[in-house]
Amino acid sequence: MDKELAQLQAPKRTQTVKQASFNKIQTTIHQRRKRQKRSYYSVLAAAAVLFVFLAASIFTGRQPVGENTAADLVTIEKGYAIANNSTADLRYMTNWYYFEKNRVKEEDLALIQPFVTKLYEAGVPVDDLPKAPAEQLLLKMSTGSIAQIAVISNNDQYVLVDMNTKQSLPLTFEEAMNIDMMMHDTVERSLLGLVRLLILSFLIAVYIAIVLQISPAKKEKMESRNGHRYFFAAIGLYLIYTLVNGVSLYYFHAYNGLFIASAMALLLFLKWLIDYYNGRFESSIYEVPLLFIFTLLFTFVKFL
Amino acid sequence: MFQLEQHYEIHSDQIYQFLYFLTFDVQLAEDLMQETFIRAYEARHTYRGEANVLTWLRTIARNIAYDHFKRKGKIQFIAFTKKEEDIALTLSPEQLFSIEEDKRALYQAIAGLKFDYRIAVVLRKIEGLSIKETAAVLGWNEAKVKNSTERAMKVLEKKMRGGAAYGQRAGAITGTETDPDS
Repeated sequence: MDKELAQLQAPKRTQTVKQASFNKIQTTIHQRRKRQKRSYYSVLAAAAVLFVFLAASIFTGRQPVGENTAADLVTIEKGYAIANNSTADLRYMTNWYYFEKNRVKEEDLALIQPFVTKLYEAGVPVDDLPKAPAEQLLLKMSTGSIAQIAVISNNDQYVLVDMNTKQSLPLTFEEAMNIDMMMHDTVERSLLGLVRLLILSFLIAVYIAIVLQISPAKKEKMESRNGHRYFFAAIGLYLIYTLVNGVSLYYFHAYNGLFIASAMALLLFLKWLIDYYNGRFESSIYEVPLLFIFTLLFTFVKFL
Repeated sequence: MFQLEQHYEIHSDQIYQFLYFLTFDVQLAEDLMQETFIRAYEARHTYRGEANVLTWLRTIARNIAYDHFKRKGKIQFIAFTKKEEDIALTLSPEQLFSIEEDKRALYQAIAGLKFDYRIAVVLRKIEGLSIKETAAVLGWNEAKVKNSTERAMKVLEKKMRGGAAYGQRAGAITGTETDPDS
């Protein structure tokens, strides 16, 4: 049997067939290169369009906070305590993605409610406002309008001020301290940076352990596991997000990182679709949905 | 370093033969061989020269053939972990006609082997690769190569013994027998 098998030969290929095959290989390689180039140019074009769109949105989306009328503003629907470290006020930053903010608890809103009602019923307009403090409140009223409220010290008198209508309500020292502490607690009501870092490190370790030990792609060579590239791309994206946030805070006094990061995540997703379409993944494709799950977990930990 | 023209000239016949005994189809083997060289060219930067080029090309060819059968639904995925199920290759009248009459039974028997067994027989017995080389091509350990080859040969002998009439039926085109041990 062994001898018989060793003597088996596939039908012979003629020189013409060989040459024709080689020509076909070269043509196919050429066509695939062209197709690949086209797909990269499409991604670049999409990136350019997105960039223009985002830039336009950022610069045209600066609407004033105000337009609140005293008569409407009686019930607070929800509120955020804002950590605004810039010297500029918030009147051009209504869109939610501009803020680093924390939701105010219902019981704290109940504490604010009587002061806000009084502010709009009996508030006195002030002409000369001192610099707004870093911690402020952004309140969404039941009418849909937004009010930007702060506690400020004006000539040794504490007042609650609507930063847009300039209406003010005098507060006692205790009232002012209560509201101020509530705002401060809300802003600080997140996990300590170190704890957050530990949780993130733990999640990253779990992710890497899954990818290295349990993933069906573990037998593939590391450099050919394209899922890995997306993992590092995601880390890069997070770094860019942090950088953009820093630069944006410095120059525009606003946090635009999430906006940019979303756009880049979309581009990364598009690239992944193209790679998937071109069959660039083997079993490491399973690492991509896993990465998305972990990205959600990272995001969740970040906003804890 | 992989050089398309040079390595095509040297290895295309061997890759073609390897694919022919996996598919028993001249045109399909030619197409898959072309795809093998295209993929090799596209992935040339991943070739690190640890294995020789022919081993690397055979690995690519094996994956392409496997993907082909998977796409054609000839390999049934029963469970996630059970990847390479039996494939039932039935030689067509044209395929049988192109084979010398005295070898038809043997070809039928090889074609009837499940994919893992067939690839082990092709590499070890037809191509004459060592256990180590075969393990490198297939990404198996040497014990698996040895076991699969031995079992495949037993199945093959059984088929040949039990199916004497099966090969004798001139021009007869029969379906593939099921492996007794599968």
